[in-house]
Parts: sequence; structure tokens; C-alpha cells
Amino acid sequence: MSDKHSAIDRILKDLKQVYLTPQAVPLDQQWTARVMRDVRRASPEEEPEITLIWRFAWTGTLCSLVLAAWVLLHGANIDDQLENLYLQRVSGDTVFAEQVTPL
Amino acid sequence: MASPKETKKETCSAEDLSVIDRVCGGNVNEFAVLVEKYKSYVASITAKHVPREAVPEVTHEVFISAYSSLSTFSRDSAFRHWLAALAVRRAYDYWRRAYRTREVPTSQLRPAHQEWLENSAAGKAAGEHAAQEWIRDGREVLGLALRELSPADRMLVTLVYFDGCELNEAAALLGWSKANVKVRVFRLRTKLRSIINSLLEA
Repeated sequence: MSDKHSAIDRILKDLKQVYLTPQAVPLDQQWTARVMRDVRRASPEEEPEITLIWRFAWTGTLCSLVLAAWVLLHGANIDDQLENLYLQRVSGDTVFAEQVTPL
Repeated sequence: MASPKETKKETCSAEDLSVIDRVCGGNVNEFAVLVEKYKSYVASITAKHVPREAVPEVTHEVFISAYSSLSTFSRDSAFRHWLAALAVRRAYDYWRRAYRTREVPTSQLRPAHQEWLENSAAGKAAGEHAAQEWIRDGREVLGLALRELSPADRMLVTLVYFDGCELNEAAALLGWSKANVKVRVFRLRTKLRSIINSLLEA
């Protein structure tokens, strides 16, 4: 058992030596040219998603501010218009009521 | 692969930084300077992890990845360490693809391999004249043993047991958590011995 254990240890040691033996794989100028051709086609990494989320958040905030400013500036008019609409509705109801009351 | 331990404190050279700045500034052709400077280094790493015929292709992928993510390179570490991590990850991708498409070599244990195993087990060193042959047969035996492992285990065995990386270094190179690496390595210790044993008894 111990012999087998030692034999496996020796094999592993030799396999490690084989693994660590440098293996030259020459890459010529044509290979470099191919890499550079593909590099020119490749686009740099897209913007991280978190940056896009922040961009959307900022756009949303800006839109809300613009809307709030518009409401403040035109708020009085809106109030008037709403009041008029309300009065029209109330008066309409009254007319209807007057029409049916004679019964 | 140059062990990350050797040059832990190494930072990116001013020359590399200057080239990186020019590439990030839009001068794509400057990237060729980095390709020329580091192609042999990257090929030497990929050659340890993938079959010889796949080395040009995987090294190519490493440089494309490097260009695509150059803006994420942390400038306080050496550029070659960053490339080494990319090379290990692209090699891992290669094996994942190969296992998925079942393109893993299916060679069998030949008499030459059995002889290599028996000689190694007996502690017989190869003579000078047979060194090349011994390395070639040894590589084939190594390939047969690693074939029995999953792509992830394969990468860990080579990094931890053969390259001598520490667990946190292997975790950083592969982009995994240290806990994940630790659990796998613990199991691999017995698994690797069992594979060698089965090859010896075949």
C-alpha cells in the first residue's frame, strides 16, 4: 500500500515536471496582424449596467423637476380652470334638479 | 506561468501605462505594441493549459479580451499579471466549450504511456537522449489524467498542484471565491491520486 502511495507520488512529481517544461509556440507577424484586425473590429467594453441605471435615474429626476417647475408656474391657471369646471358641473346639476322638481 | 508570488509587488511600468493611455485615447494601432511585447508570455501560459494546436487561438482571444476591457485594468498592478489572469480564464473557457461540444481528445492509454507510468512509478529518470520523447509521452499521460476532471477541476489541479499557486491566488486568477476553491481543492487531492492509480492499473 505504501509502495503504491510512493509510486503515485513519483508519477505526480514527474507529471508536474512535464507540465512545467516550457513549450515554445511561435506566434509570427501574421498572427499579430490577425489579432490587430480583430482588435480594430472589436469595440471596447460596453458601459457598465450600473452607469446606465444612474443615467436613467438622473434623467427621471430632471424630468420631475421640469414638471414641478411647470406646475408651479402655471398652478394658478390650473386652479382657475379646475374651479370653473367644478362650477359648471355644479350648475349643470342644479339645472337638472330644477327640471325634475315640478313633479 | 510566472507565479504571481514572484512579482506580487510589481506595478505597471510607465512604458506600458503610456501605451495603454494612448490606446484608451483612441489610438487602436498602439495596441500592437502590447501584443508584440507580451504575446510570447501569454502563449507560454496558454500552452500549459490547452492543447498545443489551440494555443494561437486561445492567445488571440486573450488579447481581444484585453483590448475590450482595457478600461477596467487597474493601473496599480503589473499589466502582465492582468494578462495572466485573462489567459487562465480564456483557457478555462476553452475547456468549457470543448466539454460542452464533446471535443475533448479521446485518445486511449497506449503501451508508450504505460511504459512511461511504470518507469515514473519506479523512479527511473529519462536519459538525456530520450528527454524529448519522455516529455511528449508525459504530456499525453497528463492529458489522459486531466480528461477525467471537469473543466473547473482541471484548471484548479494545474494551478494549485502544478503551478503551485496558493488558494487565494488561484481564486483571483479564476475569479472565484476562496471558499469555492478551498472546497474543490480538498476533494481534488484524493480524486487526482485515484485517477493516477486507475491509469497505473489499466
